[in-house]
Amino acid sequence: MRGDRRQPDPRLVALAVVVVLAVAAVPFVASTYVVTVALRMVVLSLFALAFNIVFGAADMPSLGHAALFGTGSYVVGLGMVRWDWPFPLVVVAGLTAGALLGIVMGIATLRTQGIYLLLLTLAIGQAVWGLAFQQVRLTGGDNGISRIDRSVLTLGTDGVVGFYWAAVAVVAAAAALLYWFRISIVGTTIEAVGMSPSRLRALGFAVGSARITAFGVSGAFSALAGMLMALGNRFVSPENLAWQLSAEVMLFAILGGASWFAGPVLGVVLVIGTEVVVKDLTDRWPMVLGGLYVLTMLFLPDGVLGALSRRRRDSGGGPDPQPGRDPGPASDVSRGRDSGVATNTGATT
Amino acid sequence: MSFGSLLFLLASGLTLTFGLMRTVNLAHGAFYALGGYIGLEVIDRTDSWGLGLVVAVVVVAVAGVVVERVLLHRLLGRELPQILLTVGVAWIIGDVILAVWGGRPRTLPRPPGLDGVLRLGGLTFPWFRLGLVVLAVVVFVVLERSLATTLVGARIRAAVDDEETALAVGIDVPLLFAVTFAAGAGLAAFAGIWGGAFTGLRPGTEWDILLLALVVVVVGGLGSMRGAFVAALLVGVLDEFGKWLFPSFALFTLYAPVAVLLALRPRGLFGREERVA
Amino acid sequence: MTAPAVETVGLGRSFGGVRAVHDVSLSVPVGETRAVIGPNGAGKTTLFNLLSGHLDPSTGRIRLFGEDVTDRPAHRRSREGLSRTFQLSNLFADLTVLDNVRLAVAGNDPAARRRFWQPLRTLPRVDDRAREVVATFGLESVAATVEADLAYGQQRVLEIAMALAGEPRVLLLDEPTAGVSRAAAEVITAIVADLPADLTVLVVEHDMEVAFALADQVTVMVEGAELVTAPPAVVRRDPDVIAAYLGTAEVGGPRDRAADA
Repeated sequence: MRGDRRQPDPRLVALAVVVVLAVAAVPFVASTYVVTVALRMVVLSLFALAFNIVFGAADMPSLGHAALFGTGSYVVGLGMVRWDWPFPLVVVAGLTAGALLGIVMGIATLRTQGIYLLLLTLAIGQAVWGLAFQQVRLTGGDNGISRIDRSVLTLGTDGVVGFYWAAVAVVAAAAALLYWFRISIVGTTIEAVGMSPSRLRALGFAVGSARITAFGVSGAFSALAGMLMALGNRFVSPENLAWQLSAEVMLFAILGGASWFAGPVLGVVLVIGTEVVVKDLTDRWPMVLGGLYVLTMLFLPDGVLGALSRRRRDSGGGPDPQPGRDPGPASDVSRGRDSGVATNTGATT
Repeated sequence: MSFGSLLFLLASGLTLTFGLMRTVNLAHGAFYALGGYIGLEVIDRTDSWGLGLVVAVVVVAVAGVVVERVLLHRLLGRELPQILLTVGVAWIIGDVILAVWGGRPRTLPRPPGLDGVLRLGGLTFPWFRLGLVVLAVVVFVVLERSLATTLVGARIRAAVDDEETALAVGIDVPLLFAVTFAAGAGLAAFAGIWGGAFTGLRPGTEWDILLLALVVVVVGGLGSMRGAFVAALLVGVLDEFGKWLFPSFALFTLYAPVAVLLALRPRGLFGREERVA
Repeated sequence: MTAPAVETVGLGRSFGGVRAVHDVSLSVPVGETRAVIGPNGAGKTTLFNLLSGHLDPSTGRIRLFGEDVTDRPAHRRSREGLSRTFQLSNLFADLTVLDNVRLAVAGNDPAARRRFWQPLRTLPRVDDRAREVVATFGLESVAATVEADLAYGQQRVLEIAMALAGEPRVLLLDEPTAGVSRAAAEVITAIVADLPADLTVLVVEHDMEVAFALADQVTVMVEGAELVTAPPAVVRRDPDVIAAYLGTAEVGGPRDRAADA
């Protein structure tokens, strides 16, 4: 994440609170249909935030994250419809399954990076999808599992609006936990892995453990999002495990801005918002989605937040960031501040 | 064996573009499908299989050039954005196909003269399948030799390694990349004409085929033509094997071993050791 | 007699057919400052990567204070008291200077590592030590600046600060003055000269003046092998060393800074 966010900026915290309240207020000002759209955005936002631990923070491009999301969904489907488990057990099982699968993915990818990691996670995701697709007796195959009964939660969540508020509360709490995770020592270590694993090793941290932890935590929270999705739709199918979902969550993160904590959420809003609008007008949503992928990669590689941040810098908001990765000679010429090496001015922060 | 041959035809184009340009073209399946549908359209109108083949390959090759020059080239060297951009292109092509040709499953006719079977000592071999196998071998030999030994192959590899130097030495880099990508797309369309006769075409083909091609290319080792050949045969066998022995696990028995192999040996069977950054 | 701080026995590393490091047997006593010099491609950085554990040797053993660490991964060697800087900027670009140093301190603090769930800045012992280090290296004015925004010279100083934050027993400096201005090079050289006497330092340097000024002993490497190890004055006059450098530059002459990329 950019900037000095070891210390949560009070303005940003206030903004987050306002956003949560605004999101919670949707049922008062909009139709049930809009609430279902908002619910989808809220749940996918959690998924995208969880994904970004592995992608934006640790710089591991996983194309198998739908497997983690879908695992949560299927635990709900199987546990509640097939096996009649008490709800608390379903929750624990879902989180644990997500964490465990995440750890497996983390261990499997220890020796890979870049495109090889991408393809390996894709293969793992497809293996899980294949299981769900073809174990028809257990999972219902392509038809999935339906009639998930929400009334068991007995929190007034049977109705759309009731569940929506429950989901908003859960996601807000989860997002706060994820933020705390990112600024903790282990979270910072994970980010350092994404920036320079060799330097991190040189400082005494175990890079492998950091990577596995990233996948495990990401897995648990992704599964949580999947559980919410299954409960929200009252339905789960192999679509929850499809690689297209894995690609889409990567699009969310990139389009919003993977270097910022909340970037993926912005990506969710932009993509799903566009989807809802486009689907209302035409059948050609896949074409528009394809266009979104193309335009994002060509023009917004740092995402919307990245483009905005660059514009702020260019208009005099601050110094240009040095790439810092090429040790060009004589590039430490003074830029109007301290020369070459800072001298001891006695000022403290 | 014949399914494996089809897989190789399909994977060869992917291997070509990755091996020479380090570009993973996830629109490859869409080029396959587009080739198949265009071929079908031409054959329907003109009753000429040969014409259908030629038109399909040419049109898709041109489309490939356009994609490479206009879109992909701006992302040269940046693997992840390239991959996702081609995903976008695939979505677009897939939707165009749907809009133009609709959702009804279609099958292409087999090449004239390859209907019927060959009888050898009590065994029957459909000519079509034999043709596929022969074709795969021919394509493999041609590609493998021309890449390894010709000047063109060397020039392309030089250009990928260091575009600036290649340009300075006088290698026409834009032309080379365009030609390579066109060849890859053309190969996909070519495979589409044959595959469309073998397994048919329907909405979603572009993704199913892509996943299979990816598995082959990755198991064989990204960029290795030899690896693609071996892996295609292996995957073909594994696919049959899985369907036969473990019908309800077939997809799993395909992807799970691939995942294990990649986890233990990321470069696949014949891939080059990657230079770690 | 106490064991040497750093000792290698027949250390070697090959890449395919190329022997980047070949049969190097070093012995660096505790507290010595050893410069490692040699023409380009002599294997100096490879040697450092082998010592720090970022690269596995093809042959040979490595000992730290008498203990064989050849099979220990890099992060464990760091916890044993081995620290290093890198030749190319290996930044935590998005972290501030202070956070970089906090991370460096935490890396060598088992208690801090155990409290992994806590926000980085809330561990007082880590925070105090980090601020102390930042002050020592004159970086307070940029403590809240993201590392990517620093001037290059400041980045190099920060790297050294981070390497020292964990109070190491052995420090490997890989071309600490490469690519920095004259002024910055002087500051960095002064920092290295001022290091504690009991800290064992190995420095790879292209700049002969700096190397000879800092070092107690100089090891000259050529094509992956050790040519000679001797005090600077001796090395300067050694005919084999001079021959090895013929065609690159004079030994000990001023070098064009801008060429050091």
